[in-house]
Amino acid sequence: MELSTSTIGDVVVVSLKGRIDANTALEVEQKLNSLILEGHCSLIADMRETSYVASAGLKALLVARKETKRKNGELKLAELQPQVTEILDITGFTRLFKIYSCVEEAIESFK
Amino acid sequence: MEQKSKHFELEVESKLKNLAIIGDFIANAMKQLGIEHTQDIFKVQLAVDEACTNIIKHAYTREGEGQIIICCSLSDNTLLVTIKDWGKCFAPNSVPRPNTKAALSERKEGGLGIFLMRELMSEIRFTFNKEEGNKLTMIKHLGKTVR
Repeated sequence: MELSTSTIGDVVVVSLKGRIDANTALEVEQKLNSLILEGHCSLIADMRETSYVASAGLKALLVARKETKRKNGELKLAELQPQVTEILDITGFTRLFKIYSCVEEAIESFK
Repeated sequence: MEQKSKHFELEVESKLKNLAIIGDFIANAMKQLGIEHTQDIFKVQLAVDEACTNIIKHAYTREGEGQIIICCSLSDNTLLVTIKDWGKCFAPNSVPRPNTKAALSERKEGGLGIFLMRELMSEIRFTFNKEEGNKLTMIKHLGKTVR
């Protein structure tokens, strides 16, 4: 699992590369939580290289989604791979997140 | 990975870092069994990942306490995966089904593991036995994707 961030204006794009399973989800949760604590509440998870998301990863995303909302921000998802989209569909997560086909579109949505 | 006439077996310590090894084992075994449909492989990987995560986090008291043995075989376009552990038993039917239609404020953050296992596989069965170990049997009926 590799995590990297880039900031465009008030928006922070968090790139999640690799598997998000029970072994790596804590790292994702801590990264998103630290960004929120620093006051970054307009977040995009760039998931173009996220090959795999288990329930622990879904939990990490949901925790951050709720926390950003509590602070009048939002965590949005972008560039999901088809197998990840299917898991979000099955678990009802597509109802809980705004999902964009490209990161640029997600950034634009915050303006 | 040991192969006995299209039967694959993996034994690992109950550690979260082994989840990636387990995922690779499932993908490799399914490919060698002639299953090439990536969505089927992904679904079985995830179902097995969730099962093993439960064993590591809940059946065994601490990480690395015990072993997990995963077997994978194919018969008549039906994939059979069995997972054995020697941890605590639990009542799978007591785990409530998550409300996947709940609004964000009402949505609980956990409880998706067994739900995903049931959704992604055709059938799952738990048997608990202190002497012989606990056994989870997971069955996936496949389409016409097998060579």
